[in-house]
Amino acid sequence: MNEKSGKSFRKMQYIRECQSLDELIEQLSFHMGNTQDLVTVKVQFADKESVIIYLESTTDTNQLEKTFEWLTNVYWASDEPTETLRIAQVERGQTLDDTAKKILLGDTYLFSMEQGSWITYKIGSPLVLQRAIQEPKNEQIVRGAHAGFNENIITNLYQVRSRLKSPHLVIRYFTIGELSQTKCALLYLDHVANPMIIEEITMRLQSINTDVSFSIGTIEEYIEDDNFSPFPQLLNTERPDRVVGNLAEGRFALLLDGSPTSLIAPVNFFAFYQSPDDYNGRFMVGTFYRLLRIASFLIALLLPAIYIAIISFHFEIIPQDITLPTKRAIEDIPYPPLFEALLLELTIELIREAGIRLPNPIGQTIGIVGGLVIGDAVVNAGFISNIMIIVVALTAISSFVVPSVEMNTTVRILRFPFMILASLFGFFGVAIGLIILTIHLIRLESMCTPYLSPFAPFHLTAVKDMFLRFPAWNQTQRPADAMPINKKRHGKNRWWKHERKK
Amino acid sequence: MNEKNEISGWQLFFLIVQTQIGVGALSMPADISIESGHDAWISLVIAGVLMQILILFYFWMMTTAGDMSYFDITKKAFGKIAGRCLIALYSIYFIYVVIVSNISFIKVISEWIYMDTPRWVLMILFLLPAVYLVRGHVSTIARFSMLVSFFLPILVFILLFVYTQPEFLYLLPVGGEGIENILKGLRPALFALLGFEAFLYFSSYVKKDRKKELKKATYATLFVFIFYLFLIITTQVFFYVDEIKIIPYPVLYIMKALSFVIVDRVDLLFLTFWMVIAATSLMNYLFISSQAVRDVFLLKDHSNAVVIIALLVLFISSIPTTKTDVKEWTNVLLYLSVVFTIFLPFITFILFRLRRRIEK
Repeated sequence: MNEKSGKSFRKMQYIRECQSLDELIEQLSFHMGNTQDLVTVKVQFADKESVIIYLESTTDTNQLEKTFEWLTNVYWASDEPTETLRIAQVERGQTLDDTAKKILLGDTYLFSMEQGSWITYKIGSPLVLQRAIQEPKNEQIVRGAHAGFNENIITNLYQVRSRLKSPHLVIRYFTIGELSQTKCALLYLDHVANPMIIEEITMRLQSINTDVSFSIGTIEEYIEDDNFSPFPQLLNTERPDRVVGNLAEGRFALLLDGSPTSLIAPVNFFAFYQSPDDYNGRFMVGTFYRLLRIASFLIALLLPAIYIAIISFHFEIIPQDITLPTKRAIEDIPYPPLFEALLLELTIELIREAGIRLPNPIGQTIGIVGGLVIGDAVVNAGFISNIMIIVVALTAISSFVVPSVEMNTTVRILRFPFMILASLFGFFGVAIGLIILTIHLIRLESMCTPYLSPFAPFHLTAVKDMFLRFPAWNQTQRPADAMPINKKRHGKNRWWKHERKK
Repeated sequence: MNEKNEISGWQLFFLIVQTQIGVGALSMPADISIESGHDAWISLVIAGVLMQILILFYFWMMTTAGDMSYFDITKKAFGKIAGRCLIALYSIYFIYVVIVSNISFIKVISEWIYMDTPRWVLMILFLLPAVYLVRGHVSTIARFSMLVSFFLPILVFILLFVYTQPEFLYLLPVGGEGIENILKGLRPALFALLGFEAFLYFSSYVKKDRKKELKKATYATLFVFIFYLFLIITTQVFFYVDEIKIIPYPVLYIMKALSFVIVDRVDLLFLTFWMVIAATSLMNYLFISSQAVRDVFLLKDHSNAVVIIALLVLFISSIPTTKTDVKEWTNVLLYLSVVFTIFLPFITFILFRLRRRIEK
């Protein structure tokens, strides 16, 4: 019976099996791996020997102090056990293992022995340390809300909820990661989102079997349709307004505790070229910039390839007046155009990569040194033609126009195969590359919905929102690519325009 | 979720359009003009009307047969064994069509731009995307056809520059070449319009609202006919008849003659766009032939058949090397296509009706 004196230790299952406070402390400590940040404080509570147990790394001690004081006062006054939002009585049958898990989540336990049985209180006082709500650095906009997600999932959910005060907004929790036990939230509007898609994503989330989920990027790889496609199939964003806009179109959003980025799906290709800015300006401006961004995709992808093809295969395509200047520029260059382009593209990639890691002022210096000095020197040295500098610089600028970081990297990687095809087969090679790319985009799916949606399959109503940006009152239907069960976005607006004429 | 083996009426429309408009359209004005001179457009109109009648017959045939595919109808009409033999012939025919469209495209591109590149390299490049696409579902093929159709307005727009100085007198006198010559021109005109038989093979994938949706698809041939008429009249008001007879690809020559401030030699760009359109035609034929092969060998899936057919096409396409070879192969196709697009569907349908009546 008396293990202590016999120096033997027996692992117990239930709280009620413990006979004394010391034994309980010993057992709980064992269940938590004898960790040293487990704090046990022996106190007097209601005239009884009691012990408070918590993890100092996950507990807000100020809060705990106040709550405990309040609890003691109430007990003196009323002599009855109380329960509030923070304080709960724990049932007698609770296992030590469950208790340990709760303590890990930031709860504090108060045990006291009364006539051979345990009275247990759970006091919730988790420590919450979080960054303030700031504008996300990589998705800055000119006009509109400047709020962004931070690392705390509750704050993030608050930001979404406060923008969508609808009973239709459903939040479902998942726990991902054997070790990390990370909370993951799935958000959707149950009267708009397609239940088949929600079922699909639920199934995919539940099938994740991993130890630690430290970033949303790994979650993305577990749940996306095609890992081997260069194109992102889930939209990453740190902006709550963007999440809300997409939820309203019948898509779902995933939030992961500890990550300021949310994932949005099903998305199509053109969603990556939208920016909240489009909706804050006049619609003509919005449409213009959207078309400009899509043009930037084509420029970033094809301009070096087309230039290489023209220089090495189809010189006759250059109009007469420019032929001589072009010829003069490229005549004394010792390298083939492909090598020239690759050299410069790699330089630009290096400058970019170096610029990200360095603090801001030095990053700018690197940009100037890289861009101006190297560019100028390389032309003067006669290694690379100045037209190539123009082409590569234009390409680099257009590749940074994309509002989404993942699509930006995709475009930058994809242009290398095009350059190689162009240098081998000219326009024919570029066209073949484009055909294969288009076929890939057509075949690609995001959560089982077509990726190139408003164009293949063609939906005229979706073109009005996804490709162009028509006035808000004109977009009466939700885009069809997310297959919303409720297509109607809103009713008739601006009816007064016709009323007044009568 | 979307049904992957289902297409809508408009998608069928674009499938037919893209099957019809292939490489042939580049040389079509010259081919017809050699026979019927400046009245080539009259030949095209007659051929277009004939084809429209044919497609209406197809439409009637496919709607009365319910949602059976054309090969199912063939099997039902001729019995299982004879039907399968017939489908085997069909698959050989369609593989032949793929080969011919492959070699004639490679001929254009190697004559026009890539004189020194080995032909097999061009062929591999041309067949690669086709295999990649056709291995997928019919809906992706339909979507691709639809997407590619956005190029057609661009081509029309470029050709509109011809109308800055048109010479409509070249079209006169209407009918001056005589009826005999105009009827002679029917043959190349019909050949240019080939591809409308895609209706037979793709229509079974239209599953919802069949009658209404199939009706939309019958306009496809009308669309292509009007497009060709535009092409032929454009070339005829640009070139004199005797010129057209000499130059092999009048449309490309128009482009070559046009010169813009920003781009010289629009024909190179045009040919690049056209390549995509020609590739779509080849892809659709490749799909039909893989369907036929699947039905012959009772395969589960057509995706492996596609690879084998493509390899076969690659090897056989390297046999004809000279210009005259290509011409001969094309001429053979002309006679074969009459059998396979006009006579066989007729016979099949009559037998099918008879069988049905007997069964009742």
